[in-house]
Amino acid sequence: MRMLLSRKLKEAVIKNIFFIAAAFSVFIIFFIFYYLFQQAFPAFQNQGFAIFGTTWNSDTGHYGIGAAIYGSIIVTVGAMIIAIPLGLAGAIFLSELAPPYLRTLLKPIIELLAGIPSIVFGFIGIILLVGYLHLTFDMLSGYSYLAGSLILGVMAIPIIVSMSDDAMKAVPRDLKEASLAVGATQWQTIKKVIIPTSISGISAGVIMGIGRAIGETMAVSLVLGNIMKIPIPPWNIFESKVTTVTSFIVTEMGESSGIQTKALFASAVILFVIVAVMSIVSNILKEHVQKKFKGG
Amino acid sequence: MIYIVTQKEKKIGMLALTLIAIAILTTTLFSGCTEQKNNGTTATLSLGGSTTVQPIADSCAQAFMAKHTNITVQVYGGGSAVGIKGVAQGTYDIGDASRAAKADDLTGIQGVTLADLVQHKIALDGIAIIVSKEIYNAGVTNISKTQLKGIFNRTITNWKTLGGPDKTIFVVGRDSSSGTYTSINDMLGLNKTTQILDVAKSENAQVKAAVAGQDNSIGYVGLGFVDTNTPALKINGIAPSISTVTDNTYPLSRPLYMYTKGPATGVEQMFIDFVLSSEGQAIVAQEEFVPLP
Repeated sequence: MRMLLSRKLKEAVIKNIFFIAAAFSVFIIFFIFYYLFQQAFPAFQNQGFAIFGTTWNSDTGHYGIGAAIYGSIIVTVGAMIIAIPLGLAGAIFLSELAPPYLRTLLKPIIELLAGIPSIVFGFIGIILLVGYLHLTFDMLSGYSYLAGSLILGVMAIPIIVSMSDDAMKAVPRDLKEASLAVGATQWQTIKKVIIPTSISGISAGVIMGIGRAIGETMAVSLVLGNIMKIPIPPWNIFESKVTTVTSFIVTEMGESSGIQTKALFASAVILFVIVAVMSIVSNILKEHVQKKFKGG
Repeated sequence: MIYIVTQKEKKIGMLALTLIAIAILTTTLFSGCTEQKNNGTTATLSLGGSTTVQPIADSCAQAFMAKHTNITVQVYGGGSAVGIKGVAQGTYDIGDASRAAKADDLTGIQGVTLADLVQHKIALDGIAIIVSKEIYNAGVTNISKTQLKGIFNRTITNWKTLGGPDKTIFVVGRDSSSGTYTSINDMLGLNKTTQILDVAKSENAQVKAAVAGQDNSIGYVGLGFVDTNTPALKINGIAPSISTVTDNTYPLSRPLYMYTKGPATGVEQMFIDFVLSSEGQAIVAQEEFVPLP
């Protein structure tokens, strides 16, 4: 009896320790949420909708971060143009075409790429890429949306490959074999069976990739001009006078003060909301793919 | 099936409990913060003015408060004129300025003359103009202040104009909240709209890397960041160095001041003494300014 009680007690203690550990991260996220909003509120109050404007000048009291939001979108779109085709093709190869030995070799290497610290990408970007672009395209400088997109694209590839590969591997064998049995070629099977059934998993991977690209700071801040402007024309990917939200925050935060700091917090809030929404959508899609095959 | 449902309900209950716990924790945590701020303070000191001096004032204030926990130091920006006016009117205890006070600063302030303000020199500010090696080797080694202004406001856009190669000038500078950015504006008579940069970096070392990385760049950094990869231009024939900054012959140099109304007393005196101490001067150097000789 006593034995049973102590075991029960032990169980309860352990259970609670784990519960506290889990609750801790929830607490942290709520704390960040609260702190960000609390810090940013004065800026929203002070600037109103002008916060989405494109003039940033602390002398005249204008703190519009519109150009940075635009920059984040453009750089991310550029990164996805590079990462989605490469990532998807890579995933198809890994899950469907690669011989097993190659797969066991390649998959960990690609996942290792996802673990490389962003500053390393940024460093390679500033040392090699910027100079290369400057000379190759005869640009005034290599600092540009283009450089940012290239780096972020490479950084997003492993995420897209890894998650899409998992999604394609989760497609039940019988579906695939049925398709091949009725005489479809391998390519037809991939196109008509594998991709459509795993599309929500692939989308989850792509959204995670976008999330990484849009939230990335160090690598982009090193290869952009960090000037709050929308280039002329807006799709001019060679212009250096551009910035993204993350890059602008890290460049200006150091010596900022007063309402300027609050405005930087406000841009962080906007970014936080964007990334949070993406992460939620990605999770919903991932759950969808699991339900579909595991019979709910 | 029923068992699973109850588990789910349990989970939801747990989640609700967690949220309530978090809400309580957060509120207590934050109310704790505000209470602490209001209690236990016996003296306050306010500084305001030049945004160039602000990084020095901020860091010194933090170090000072760490030593004297009963004193609260608040640092504001606003510009040299605001600092001088503020100290004259009593808004601030100490006014920060990156230039000497003028009689003009005190117009409209009753009963305060220039003689009432006491000047404390706290640091020196010297900025080197660096260019790509290729530009320097092509013969651009000296530049006038007017030409420099032309480069930063984009009336001069090609190195050819300055006797260099036929290349568009690539202008690297600092983020708009940096003290060095403000210094360049003040020294060349520019402002946040007329100083037009191609790339803004948040640190001297990054400016240096950007200038060194290309063959067409110009940038500005603190004195300590000049080397053979990024040679410094002479301004009006004078090379930047600690000695030309100290004797004020180098055109892009100036002393930085803190002003008090009447001789510094009490906490004011303590703070200014701290800034002038070896510890304070180390902070000056750390903030990329030149310590007093």
